[in-house]
Amino acid sequence: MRFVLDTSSLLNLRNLEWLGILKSEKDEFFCPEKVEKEIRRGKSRNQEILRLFQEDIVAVQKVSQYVDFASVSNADAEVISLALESQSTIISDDAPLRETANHYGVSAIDIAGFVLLTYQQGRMDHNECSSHLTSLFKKKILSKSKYHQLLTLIRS
Amino acid sequence: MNITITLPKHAIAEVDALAKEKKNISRKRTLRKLVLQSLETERKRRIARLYQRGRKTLRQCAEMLGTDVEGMMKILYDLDIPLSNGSADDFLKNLKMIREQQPWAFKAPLDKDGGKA
Repeated sequence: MRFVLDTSSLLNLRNLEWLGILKSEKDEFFCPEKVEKEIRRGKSRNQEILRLFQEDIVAVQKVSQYVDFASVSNADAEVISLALESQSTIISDDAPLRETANHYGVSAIDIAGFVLLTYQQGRMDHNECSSHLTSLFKKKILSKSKYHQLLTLIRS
Repeated sequence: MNITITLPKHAIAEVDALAKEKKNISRKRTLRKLVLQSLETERKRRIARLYQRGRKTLRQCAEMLGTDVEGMMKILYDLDIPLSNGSADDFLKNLKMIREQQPWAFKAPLDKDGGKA
């Protein structure tokens, strides 16, 4: 599958020490130049993320057809534009950004959604999946209601 | 610009105690500091609510507060506002979109009831 990563999801993956989840042979990950710049400007801890760019695990792409979405910032628009032109799904923990992307027909999920997809594809077992969701809840990334809804969803 | 305010005695005593604690700075300076601090906190709360209600993205809020995405994430964390709100239905809606856009990636999709098909 193809994904466009946003800064919020990259930072959360780093904070949770889950960047390894991106080293998948089945998936392709991209990010626009503006996201790379944000990461580069960030803390020294971002070195781990920058390494993913250097190793081409996350490919930094120039947006060729930039769409100016009036309701979001330039970097947000770049994330959506790149997903549109590469027919990818956005991974972002920024809920309003996901909503705007959906409005323009672009699919967008958060890290929790990516964890569920990974589980669904059989690359993560049930225990691992629920433990990941619990970590996201404890780190205040997921709301309590969404956490319980997602746990119900994976309970078969 | 100067303003005059009326405070109850116990609040003035609190301000004085605080002033004494902070190397005996004046009551006036202590009050000024407290007002500015709480204005800043209120500003953060107000902008964080815009994010929570889906009116502004993380970057837009960060820009309004003169910080970056990571700084804004920290502000939301400190204010106990979950970063990725929404519902499981949002995920299911997007799952449907992904299935249509990238059908080859799906072998055993989650059904609407949450079980595996």
